[in-house]
Amino acid sequence: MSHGFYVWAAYGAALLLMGGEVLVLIRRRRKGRP
Amino acid sequence: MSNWYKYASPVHLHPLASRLIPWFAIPAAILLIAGLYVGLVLAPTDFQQGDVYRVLFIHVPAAWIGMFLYILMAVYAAIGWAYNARASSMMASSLSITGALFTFLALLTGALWGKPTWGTWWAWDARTTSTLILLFLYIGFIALQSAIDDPRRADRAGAVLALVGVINVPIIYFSVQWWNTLHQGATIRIASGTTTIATPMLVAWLIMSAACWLYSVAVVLSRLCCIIEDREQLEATQ
Repeated sequence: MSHGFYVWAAYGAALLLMGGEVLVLIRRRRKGRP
Repeated sequence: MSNWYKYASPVHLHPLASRLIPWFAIPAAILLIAGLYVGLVLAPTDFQQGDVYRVLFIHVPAAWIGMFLYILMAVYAAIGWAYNARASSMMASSLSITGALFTFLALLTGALWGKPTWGTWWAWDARTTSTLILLFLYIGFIALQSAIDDPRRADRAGAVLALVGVINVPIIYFSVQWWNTLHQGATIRIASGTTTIATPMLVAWLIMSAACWLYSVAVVLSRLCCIIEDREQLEATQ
């Protein structure tokens, strides 16, 4: 596999995890609001 | 100074944390975009590692944050336990998820860097193994807290685990000096202020590090607000 695969996989995973955490928090905060 | 003590109360801490979130989230988003551009486009290809070294712009900050947040979590958990400070224990709970996320990310990106450079996804090396133990400690803390219904008891049990596990952090940090490991030694030495990497690479690394730190503060504060709201609701119903 080319180096590009490893780089994109690493950055993709990072953005997915961080983005996922932000989405979960936004949904949780919206749900918590009266 | 005495005014600051009021923030030990979740009621006063919640509005402060809510107000602070955008001050960290917006710069984090800007720096993340800038860091991705500098790290993936502007930084030159390494003459030995090729393009795969770019993984380190995310791997190193993730590993640092994973370790630092654990220490912070243990300190907050200990304060919460010793002084019965609820806000402090809530902060520890909030830190645990982000710490676990970054530790997992450090292991994942480490594997993605290790395959083309070391020739293997995983090695039972001192640093990788102690970082895996760190992830298990985070998971243990989160699982223990969610397994106990009474939040006060959950905080105390979590504090014991967090304090016992803190010994693992210096082991991770000094593992590359104490043992002959496959993992390389420190590239940036904070104590002496020296570095062995080229300036454009250092700039990309610094921007990505700042972005990850600001992101961590923003999400930890945001989760802290959620935990405070949940606990207030729970206490109101009891």
